Amino acid sequence: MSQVELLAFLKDLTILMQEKYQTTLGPCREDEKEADYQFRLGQNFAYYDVLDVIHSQLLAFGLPTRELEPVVPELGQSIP
Amino acid sequence: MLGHGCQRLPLMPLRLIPDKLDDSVVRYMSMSTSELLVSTTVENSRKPPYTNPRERCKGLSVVERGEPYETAKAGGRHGAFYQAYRQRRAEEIQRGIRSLARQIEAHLAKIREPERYIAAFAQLDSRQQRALIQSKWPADIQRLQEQQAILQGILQERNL
Repeated sequence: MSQVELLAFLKDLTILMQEKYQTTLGPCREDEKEADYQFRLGQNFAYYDVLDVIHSQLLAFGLPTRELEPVVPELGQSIP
Repeated sequence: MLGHGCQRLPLMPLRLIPDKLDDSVVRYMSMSTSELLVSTTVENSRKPPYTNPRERCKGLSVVERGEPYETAKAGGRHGAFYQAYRQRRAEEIQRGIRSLARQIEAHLAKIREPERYIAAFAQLDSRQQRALIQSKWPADIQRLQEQQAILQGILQERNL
């Protein structure tokens, strides 16, 4: 895999994980059971962790992150 | 019909706002660097040993082996990281070690002053606060230290 392909793969992976993070954001909805909300809260934290690990690994491998930024959101906040 | 309606709702801080930070969170925030690093190692050593499929085949974990460099070299945890850096010049490896040191420092700073890095930290669910300070960031530090040890191992391999 060339570096261009690798970065394309990482870019798509990051966007997919960011979408999952975004869909688990937000306060408890009126039609949402408490247990479902708590589960979603845990999912949100897990996707945040995944994005943070991806970002950390990009830095550790010395890969360019400019094209992918912002990789990791502030926990509980939307990705700009 | 809302479906995945959470996307359509205004994004707001998570609820369950704590009146004050959990005592155990405050205890971590007030630890010195050396205490935090020791605590990181102790906390993670209490967890079930991490195994990836390749290591599971061998019946050994990183924690059991205690040797990040040897594990990575054998193709286990951080194996790709080892392979990537093995081909790089010593200067790049040194740069990698410094970059990891900066990341470790940043994580220690997050534990001490989480509000500087997550503006709404006090508004997070108390379980999320605890998870960040007592679990996620310490585990991140441990991973970064493992990667540092691998890079130092590669330099030693070359007698540098």
